[in-house]
Amino acid sequence: MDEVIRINKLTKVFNGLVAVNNVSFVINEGKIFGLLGPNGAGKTTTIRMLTGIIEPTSGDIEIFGLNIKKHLLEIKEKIGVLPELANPYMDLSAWENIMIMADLYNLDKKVKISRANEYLELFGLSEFRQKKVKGFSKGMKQRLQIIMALIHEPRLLFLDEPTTGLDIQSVKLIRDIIKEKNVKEKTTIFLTTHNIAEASVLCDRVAIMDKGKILICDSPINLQKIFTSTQSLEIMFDTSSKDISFIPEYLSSRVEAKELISGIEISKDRDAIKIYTFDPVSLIAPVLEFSKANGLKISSVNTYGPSLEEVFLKIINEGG
Amino acid sequence: MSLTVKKIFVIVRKNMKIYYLKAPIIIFGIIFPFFLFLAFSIGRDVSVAYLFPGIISITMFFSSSSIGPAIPPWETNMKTLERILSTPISITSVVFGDIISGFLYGFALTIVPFLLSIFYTALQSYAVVLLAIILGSFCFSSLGTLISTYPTDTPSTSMMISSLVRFPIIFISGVFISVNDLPAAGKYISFISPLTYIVDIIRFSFGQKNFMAIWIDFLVVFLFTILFIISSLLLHKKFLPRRL
Repeated sequence: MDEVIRINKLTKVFNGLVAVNNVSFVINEGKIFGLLGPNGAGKTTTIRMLTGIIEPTSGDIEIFGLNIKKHLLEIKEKIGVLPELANPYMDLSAWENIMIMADLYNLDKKVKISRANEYLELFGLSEFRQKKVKGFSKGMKQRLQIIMALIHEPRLLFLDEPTTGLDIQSVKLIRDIIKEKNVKEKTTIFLTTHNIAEASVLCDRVAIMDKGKILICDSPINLQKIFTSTQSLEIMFDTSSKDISFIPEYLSSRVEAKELISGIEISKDRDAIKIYTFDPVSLIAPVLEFSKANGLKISSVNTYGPSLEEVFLKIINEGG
Repeated sequence: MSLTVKKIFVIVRKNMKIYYLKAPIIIFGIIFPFFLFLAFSIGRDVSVAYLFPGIISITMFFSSSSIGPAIPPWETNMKTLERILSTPISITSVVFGDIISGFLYGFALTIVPFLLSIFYTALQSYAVVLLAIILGSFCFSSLGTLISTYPTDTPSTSMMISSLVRFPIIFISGVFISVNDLPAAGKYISFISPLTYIVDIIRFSFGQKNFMAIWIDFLVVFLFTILFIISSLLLHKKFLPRRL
């Protein structure tokens, strides 16, 4: 499989502050790569370097095998970018905004008109094409901006926080189209987000970034497997009872159970308990014993694998 | 047309639609220089023929350099700059797009007093005036783009800097008083203003007393234009990405 992005020891320093620190990774063609991290992690700076908007302090970037320093305009012809904090031109119509982009990518007149119509229809903006953008909702503006990024049908698409702050319909529409572009047209997608669910649903591979460093990079499923200690056992009881508070103490008194536990949460209503463990099944028996001895009726027992969100928080908290 | 030129004109069309082709901007561009000149001329015993070179020069100077300083701060503020920088267009092309926009606006507005002047007075050379308007509009638009390099996202800050630069230029350039009538120190100061040479060319074309050979005037304005363009390019390349 062809490499689309290769970055090596990428670093960006702003006035002595290291925004991106010695980052290296490779992204293959047709993949959706998610860069996750809290605000200020360095995600947007990384995307700005990869799209040639700012120059790295050090390190190398190759897109489609071309060095970005030497082939900047050639690379920009092949990529589409949705910047995080960008806006369309408010005093222009949706159509005029799209045409500016189409002309900057030197699209043929017939092609640009046909694609603009097609995308306006796909993104539900067809009837607003001649309206000035300043009257658009946030979701409509974001959909328009994605059209502006897609109009030249790039082979590589950079989406910086594409769904942040949008309504549910817009989020679903955008996610569906991202997925469709990737599956049908093999468009490689580089996505930054702090929405873990989005990364989990969309991405083939996820890198978690904090304080300018990539802490871990793997598929969402593998990340969840790595952090098996964040599996959990959740037991719900028929009624609330003070006795539930004694379960942790009871389990601690059972040496074999104590060693399995990494954390315990009791619900506010004292009708459920969640035990974090790498072996939830082995803990069921001691909890059942305790419940029987104290006359507690169990309504359900569930085991959960770690969510990507739990993995993310664990990595960020442990700093890798 | 080469791809680079096409892209430059995409920027020109965008600027025209968003910044220049607005009724208040056009009306202001015509009225402001006219009234500014009248304010300094009324009460002085000067003929209509003497007024025209001043009005033409001020219109050219003000209109060509008026909007350029506000474009990059405005685009930074409205968060449209990053999108343009992410497309396959070089900063050089963006800067030339901004310069040409200012040039076209300045040229179009300066033609108005020029055409009016034809009805009132006989010119020695229409071609020289037209050439001066073309070169002068380009030069002053480049100056506006140079002023726009100051890295702020507040258009009012950029406009304040623009006023600080442009207003003194008017008073040292022989617009209201011919350079020949200035004291010696005033004459020396007037040499550092590109507007001085444009006024000199236009006064010559209107058959009035000029102080320098017009080929020297044209050469100096041309050199100022080159200086403004190169400085704009260097500073925009340095500061434009830092605005984000």
